[in-house]
Amino acid sequence: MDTARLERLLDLYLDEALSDGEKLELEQMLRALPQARLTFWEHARFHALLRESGAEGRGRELAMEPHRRWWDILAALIAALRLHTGWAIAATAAVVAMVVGWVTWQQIEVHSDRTTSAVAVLTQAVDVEWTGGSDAQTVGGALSPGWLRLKFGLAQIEFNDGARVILEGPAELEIRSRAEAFCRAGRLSVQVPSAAHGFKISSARMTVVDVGTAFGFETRDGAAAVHVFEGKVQLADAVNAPKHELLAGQALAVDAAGTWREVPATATLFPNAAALERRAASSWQRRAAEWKQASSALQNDPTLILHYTFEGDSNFDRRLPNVAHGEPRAADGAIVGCRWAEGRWPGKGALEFKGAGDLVRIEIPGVFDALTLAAWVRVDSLDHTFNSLLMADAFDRGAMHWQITKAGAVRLGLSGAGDFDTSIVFQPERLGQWVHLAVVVDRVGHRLVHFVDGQEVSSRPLKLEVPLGFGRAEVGNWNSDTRRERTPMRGFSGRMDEMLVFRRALAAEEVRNLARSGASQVPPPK
Amino acid sequence: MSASLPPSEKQTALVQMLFVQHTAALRGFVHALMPDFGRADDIVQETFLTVTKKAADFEPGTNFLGWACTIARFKVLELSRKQQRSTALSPDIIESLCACEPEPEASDERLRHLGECLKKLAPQARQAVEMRYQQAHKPAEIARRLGWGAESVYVALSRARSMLRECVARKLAEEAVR
Repeated sequence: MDTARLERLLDLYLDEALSDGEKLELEQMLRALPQARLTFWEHARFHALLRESGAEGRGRELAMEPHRRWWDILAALIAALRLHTGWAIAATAAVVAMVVGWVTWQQIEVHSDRTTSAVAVLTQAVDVEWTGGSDAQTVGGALSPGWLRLKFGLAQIEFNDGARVILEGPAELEIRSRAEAFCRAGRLSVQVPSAAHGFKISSARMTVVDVGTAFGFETRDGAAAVHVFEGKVQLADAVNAPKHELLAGQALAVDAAGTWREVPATATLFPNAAALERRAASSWQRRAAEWKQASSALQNDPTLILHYTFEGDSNFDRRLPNVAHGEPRAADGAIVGCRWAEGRWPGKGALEFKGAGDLVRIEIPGVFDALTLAAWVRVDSLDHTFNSLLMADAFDRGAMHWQITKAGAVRLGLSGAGDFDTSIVFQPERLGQWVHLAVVVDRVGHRLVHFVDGQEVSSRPLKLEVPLGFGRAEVGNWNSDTRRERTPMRGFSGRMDEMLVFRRALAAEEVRNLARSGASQVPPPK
Repeated sequence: MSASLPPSEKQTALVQMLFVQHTAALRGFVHALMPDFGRADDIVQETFLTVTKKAADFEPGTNFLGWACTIARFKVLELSRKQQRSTALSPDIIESLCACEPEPEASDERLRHLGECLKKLAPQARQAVEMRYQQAHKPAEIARRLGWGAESVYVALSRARSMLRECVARKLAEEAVR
């Protein structure tokens, strides 16, 4: 037997790179030689072991993937364009790279089908503060026609017809339809892929219709300017303008009095993809630092008995360490099946629950007069009648089942006291987004309160004869042998990147602080 | 076959619990026969659904893993017949491989040793291994990302695997002596 050849073919097989001829050759060896079959198993088993270690392992690199891919494309594009058009135009035209932005694409898929009034999606928001009159928008959220008012920061909006706008605050933009926006004030860049010609952006003095382009647009106090970096745009209502069509490298300005003049096209004036990416990275770092600080401050709370930060160090560790110091301390979790994935920001770890066997086994010893449960979750879909967050194995009196119903309400099932549901929290537009959930169960204060993103959403009286407790429990699933209902599948589908349990009733203000730490809200710039 | 009897809930619960216990071994089996990680995951998932559906067929006390592997094998065969250019081997080869499959080894110890051994890899080799096994990229994609030639990636992965295999085997042997 040609061992070296067999090993070479097995390597190609495992790397999915066998040619048809090589496949036949390998199959012939496997068919003919019992020894070759044993070698197959030895190699294939080891391949599976490597995958197991990789998949169970810390997914930081995996978590960074989408952004890295994005960068690769950006870099290649800049390099290519530089050759042909010079540096400045290349850098700005790199906005094109966003067309393939992975995040965007995924979110569009999630949202466009289900949300009827939505005409655009907010795909990035970096260091953004929204001003009155427009609600705080979440990244990934669908946008209906209406005003976006930005005090500062950078926001990327993808219109359903395909145009991508990067808006720099301070700015006021009215989204009018899937292919049209009105800008009262602000500076923005627009990238229109060829499939989306006809995107229209207007201001009081100027209306620009693209013909397949990348361009910058600016308006303030009645004046406006358009700078074309690629392709061409048409001016729809510029009666006195020197030109009605602008080509790449041309720019035109109009002042409040309606006087037009040609100006040099300057790409660097406008927000671009590279700046967005740069600022996003520093914003993530700041969030990570703030969250770390807040997390370590929590360690001093003697009533914090469980805190999973989903930040394991070892690639091969399947323990989920409890970093809380309070007594009685909950056990470290044992991860079964779940894969590591990206959390609230790149670099933040999370566990992804997908398969019916994905779960974390935990144990919370002790009985309590009050408990507060909190978690950061990203619900991807609600597949089952009940979708488990944290479930006591045995549903004896005083035990709890924290879960999400198929309809999208959060439910705390408390044995001996009944079910406590919120109204619908997880509407289609909330799927795929990070949400902070908390529930305060106070047997002595006779109250059970649900919170979503730090806001109280339901509060009901509670009467329970026995103390609260969990004992052995599961995060993200419920496979208990002692089930009593006819609901066999309770797996959670989504991600979780932090979970806390306090043995006391947290005040509303404290819950708000938990939801704020590491949230997407960003403090004002220095 | 007792397919006509509805599976009792207790039986379903038992089968699902066993599945969770044996997922790692089952996954290992499927990865061997289906190198495409994404499809392998699908097969494991479908196997879960099938064992749940057929819970009544399982006799408590018999070999659960064997039963689940048989179901998974049918799923691999089904997929490789359906696909024009499958990465899986031909059905008859899969059958004869399954006929001689050695007992699965306990993976916890191996995983621990593997963690140690991975640290000994050269940084480039480690990068290639992580891209392949953590990020599940195919070699062509790894070559593109690292700016290597495709052949260099195959060679790096092949050497890394063989070095790691030896390293893990050595550590297991050392442990056995102690």
